[in-house]
Amino acid sequence: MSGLQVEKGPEYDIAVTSRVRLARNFADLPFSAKMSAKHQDELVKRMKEIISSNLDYGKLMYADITSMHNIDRISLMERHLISPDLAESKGNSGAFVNETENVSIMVNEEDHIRLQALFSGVQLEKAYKVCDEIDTFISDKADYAFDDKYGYLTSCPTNLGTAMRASVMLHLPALVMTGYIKSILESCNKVGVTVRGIYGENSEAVGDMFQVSNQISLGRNEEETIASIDGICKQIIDREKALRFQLYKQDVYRFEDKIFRSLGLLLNARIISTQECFKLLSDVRLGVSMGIIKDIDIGILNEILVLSQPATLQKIAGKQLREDERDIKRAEQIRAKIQNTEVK
Amino acid sequence: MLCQNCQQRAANVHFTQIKNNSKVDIYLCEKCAQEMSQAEFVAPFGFNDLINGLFGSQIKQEIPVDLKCSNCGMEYGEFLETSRVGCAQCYKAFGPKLDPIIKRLHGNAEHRGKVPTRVSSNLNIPKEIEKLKKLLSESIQREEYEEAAKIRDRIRSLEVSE
Repeated sequence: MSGLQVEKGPEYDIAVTSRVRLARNFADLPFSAKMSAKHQDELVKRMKEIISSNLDYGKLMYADITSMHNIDRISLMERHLISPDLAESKGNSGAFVNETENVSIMVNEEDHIRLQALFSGVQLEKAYKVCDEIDTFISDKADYAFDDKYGYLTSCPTNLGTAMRASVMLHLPALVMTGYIKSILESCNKVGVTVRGIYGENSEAVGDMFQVSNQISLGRNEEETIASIDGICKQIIDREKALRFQLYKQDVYRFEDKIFRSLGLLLNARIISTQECFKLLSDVRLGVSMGIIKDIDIGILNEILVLSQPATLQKIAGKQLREDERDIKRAEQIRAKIQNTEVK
Repeated sequence: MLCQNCQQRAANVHFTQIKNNSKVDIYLCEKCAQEMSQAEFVAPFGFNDLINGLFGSQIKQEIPVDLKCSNCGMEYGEFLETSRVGCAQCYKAFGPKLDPIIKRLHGNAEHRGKVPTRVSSNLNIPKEIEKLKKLLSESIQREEYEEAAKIRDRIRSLEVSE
């Protein structure tokens, strides 16, 4: 399973993951919009040569998206190793993924390469350091498209400059319950930071999960960008923690009841939809984080978050499943995961 | 039926207009319809995507542009549709149109941060060296010698490649 489910970074109960992504293009090849099949092949070949000469991250294996079954593609996406665009790619594309599944280098995405590192908790600096090292390694071997005014040149002008996106996934149930999340969304927007719900459509966040990331990449260097996202995340986490205890103190029985009911459902339900699963997981995560539920590890909840998604479930089952079959399989998998940890 | 406007010629054009959420049917003769269609019945112009709108607002205001990148063959109009450039040279080729857009996206900013070790030919090396020398003296003033050494090495490598 993915490395982020094993390792535990600072504030890992609220900050599920920290991710840094760098977009890079080579100067001598046209960008994705104008690439022929031959160009794409050449890029894949070039990246294979560069990466195979790299010993530090030698365990990076190339996953050829082109030859991959649809379920495997989406499962890689659900594990945050490739982007939705790459999962749907029709051309010659792929990704180098390391053994612990926290580093990936996508090839032939919107940009020639997109390299990303993923760590548990608030660890953007660490994630950047990994990306920076790999990036420097690649840039020693081939010329990047770079301009002294616009920085790293990207397919879309929105990514110019550092071409870096630094993001942290936060679990914010108390901010959602109290409605304060709205003012956080607004004030973050004013300082060039985007907060958006994930696992949900539009702004509605299923499972109270939000992604905080930088909007602007030109004019601010990597360290400044990371420091600002880092600072904002820490403030949001502090607010979330304070609200949690306020809510708890307001009505202890009601608060605990909600959490234990959700745990009861996860432990006993025989059919669970993705949406319901994310809602229940959010309550249980809150309970574990506050020490109300003992004997369950946050890592298990992170695992469930990944395995309960449609494609990964089907990968576990080893066959295609209809929606109703998935809901049954999901319930089964969740029970097995939690019961293994022997909840009393 | 007579034209509702001139009340003289026969009405042979039927207009349906939605005004303040209510439907209005108008029957006009060809001549009046032509006159009115130029004055009143202008189709509203809407963009659904923010980015699209940002790039696209230029289509409306200006005569179609025929900027074309000689390297990859992308035309500016093509970029407006997809908001993706075709190659590194497109930024230069579309410069006059693209620069104001980038300003709107990122503010009046220039790149700060990492520079690739093997710089591509379009980097202005003398300017970069000048910038680095400034940084070097700043870091020496702050007594950050480790950082200063890094910058010094970078200046040396640039001077060699110049």
